Amino acid sequence: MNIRVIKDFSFKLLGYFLILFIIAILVAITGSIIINGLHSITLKMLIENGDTTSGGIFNAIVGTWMLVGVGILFSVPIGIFSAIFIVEYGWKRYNSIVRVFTDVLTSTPSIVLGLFGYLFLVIQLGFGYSLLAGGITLGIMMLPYILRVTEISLTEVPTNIKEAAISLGAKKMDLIFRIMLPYAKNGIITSTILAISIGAGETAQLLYTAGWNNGIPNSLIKSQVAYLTYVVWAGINQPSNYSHQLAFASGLILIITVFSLIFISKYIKR
Amino acid sequence: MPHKLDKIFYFLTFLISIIPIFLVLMLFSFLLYYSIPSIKYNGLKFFTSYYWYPGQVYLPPVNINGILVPYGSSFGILLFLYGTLITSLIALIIAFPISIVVSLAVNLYVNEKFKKLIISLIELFAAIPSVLYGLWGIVYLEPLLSNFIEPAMNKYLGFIPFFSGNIYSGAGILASSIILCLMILPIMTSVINGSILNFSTSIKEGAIALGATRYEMARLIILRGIKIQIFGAAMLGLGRALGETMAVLMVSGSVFNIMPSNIYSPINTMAEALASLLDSAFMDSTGMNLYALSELGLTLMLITLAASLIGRFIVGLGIIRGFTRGEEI
Amino acid sequence: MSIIRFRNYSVYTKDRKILDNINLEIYENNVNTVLGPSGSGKSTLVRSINRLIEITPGLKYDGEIYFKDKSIFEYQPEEIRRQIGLVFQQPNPFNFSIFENVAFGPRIHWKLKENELEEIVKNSLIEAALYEEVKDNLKKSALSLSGGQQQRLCIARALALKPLVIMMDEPTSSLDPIARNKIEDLIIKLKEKYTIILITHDVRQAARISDFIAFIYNGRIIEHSKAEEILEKPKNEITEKFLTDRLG
Repeated sequence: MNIRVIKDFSFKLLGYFLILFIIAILVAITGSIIINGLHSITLKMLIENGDTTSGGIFNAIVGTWMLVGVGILFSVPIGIFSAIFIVEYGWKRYNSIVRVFTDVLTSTPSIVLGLFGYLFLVIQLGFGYSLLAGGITLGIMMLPYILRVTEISLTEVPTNIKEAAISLGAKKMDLIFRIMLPYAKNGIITSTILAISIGAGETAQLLYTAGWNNGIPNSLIKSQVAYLTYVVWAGINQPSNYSHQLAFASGLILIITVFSLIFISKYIKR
Repeated sequence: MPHKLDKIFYFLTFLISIIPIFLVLMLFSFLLYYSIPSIKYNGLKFFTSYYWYPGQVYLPPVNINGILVPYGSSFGILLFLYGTLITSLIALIIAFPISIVVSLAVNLYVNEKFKKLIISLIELFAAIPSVLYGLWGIVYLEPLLSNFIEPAMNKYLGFIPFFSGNIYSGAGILASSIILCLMILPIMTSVINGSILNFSTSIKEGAIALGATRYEMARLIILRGIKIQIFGAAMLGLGRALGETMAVLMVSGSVFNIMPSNIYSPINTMAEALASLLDSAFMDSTGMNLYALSELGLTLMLITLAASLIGRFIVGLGIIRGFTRGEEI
Repeated sequence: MSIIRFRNYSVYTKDRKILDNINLEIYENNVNTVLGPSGSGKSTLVRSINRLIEITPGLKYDGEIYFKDKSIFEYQPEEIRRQIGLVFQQPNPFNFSIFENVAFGPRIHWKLKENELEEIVKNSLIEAALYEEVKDNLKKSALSLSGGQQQRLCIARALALKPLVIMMDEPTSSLDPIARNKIEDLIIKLKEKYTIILITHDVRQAARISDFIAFIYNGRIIEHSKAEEILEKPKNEITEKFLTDRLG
């Protein structure tokens, strides 16, 4: 057989092998977490508060959603309004400056964001370890993403639709709120859902901004918050079997949450 | 005559659009401000020493050259710097060929339907929270490495100095690199796949029409055409690996003050050192631990930014859409 | 009576003139057709009247356009656009319900009660000869309509603002002959109440419905007179060539 054909065939074989290998690892990781999680999780865990060695993870589930909620409330309005400015008013130079700075935010390691959250929000603004400090730190990470996707969605509103609205006498704000935002709605919703899924899986930013709470926080500031990723990390590093079970149960909930959010966003996109 | 409400709205959105810029400037100022005492006190030794000791924070602080520091403290990040670079580089070396071969094979040999499925599965990788990579690493990867793979590597590759010597618990450079590799694979594959899709079909078809095999087309035409984008993808992957915290924290062995002797040795990285040392730093009444960690954070940020921004710039030039953590760039 | 007058009006890009010293009258309650080959500046002409070109980057203009004896630049742009409606070449309804499409203009200009709004929407749809076809489906998406229906919806959308002038920029060029005929009939009916400016490159269409025709070529008005005159004995040879080429 021709050497060229053999080379082609071997490359194809190698490619298939690597594709299958990668997918196998993906299945192994998610599968092991799901199976261990299913073995570990109990109904009691879901409804009881706990401290990563005993009790449940109710406080961590609630805390995760609270933190993500604050992050979304922080990042979505800022992201949308910034995107509106960039698309509707911004001049080229300014827009590229904003772009570079948001790229810097995206590229910042999460633990560095956590350190910043600690220095700025926890210490300087005096929030202490709290919902506000942790949530805003998450929000800072979500912001560039929401901004970028909203910007793309707003840019993709067809010119002839914008001109139709303007020709009917729409002022700038009518155009933005009655035409552009409704048209960009799907993009904004998908990006928000994905931002939630990213936020729910974060740990490093929260270590020194959210802290840990054996219950539910009772205030926006100076009241620490529990979250699921912390249970995974702390639980698996403790010797007791039950801690490991808590870690896997939290892992299961995390992976279900993240994957279902991604599927929902893909569904909305279509 | 502009409308008043429109004008208010203009300024409101303008002010809001400054927030991202403001945040970045704040980020740098805070890190820099908190770093200054450490930069003054530690000087270059910060980068040349691998010995990090927070000091006896419960003893009265000592005065060294007019600066109060905890008794016995020493701040050198060489070990962390080395750990960050070596694990990220090994991850990149493994992920680089795999991501190229996978994205080429997917585009050359797989039909449209499966191709979409495979790409979205790979992108799903990027969405798995990093603590779960760590969890899997602790429970499955570490035993697998210490019981089977590392002894085998030691036996067959032991003639290479870096691959010989003691085998530890499985947590260490190799485990960290493998986990990082899994985490950067989806980003790199996604970006490379994007640039292959962007690559002109007519050139591809032309090559096939001239009698080239698919492999030849891939090697001679596509790879040459997207060299720059592949470099960009590698930089993006590197940027992600350099800054990764939790997964590495869980599988690195988190060693202090002992430089690793081989690929199986426990290690520590800048990101994980920052994560694991910060709470003890708060005990330090002189603040020097916090200042030193801020300098560590600033250093990490600058290194990561360099890689990521180069990557984003290059990828952005080709107007390719890729994904990092489900995020379009 | 002329309701719109162009006086020495020109539009430029950096390197060429799109409209060159236009002087033109638009007569009330008539179908004023601007006829010319594509690329001759017809669209720019109507987009000048409702001040859309001000928001098109890279265009400069000078000269005057008067609407009801007052310079259009002395009006608020939104007010000009309310009084002078524009229907585009491609039907471009919003991705809303039929009702919301027509209600869009009134909603942004006037504070109306829901029943007043319903009244306006209904009347506009009747005037645009669309009501009978959609009256049971006002909540349905406008994008579910056929191309011809969409175009009549866009006309209704403009009518809802009670304009004085309706400009139509090649309104039938993307439609089939049956849908085209409906719109042409509609135009003839509408001129009783409104002033119509019709942009077209279709000489037969111009002949069917125009009262006045302005022939535009390379950004200049070559000839402007009553439709019969220009069609039967054009004074300019460019006009004549264009007409004979198109009519065969």
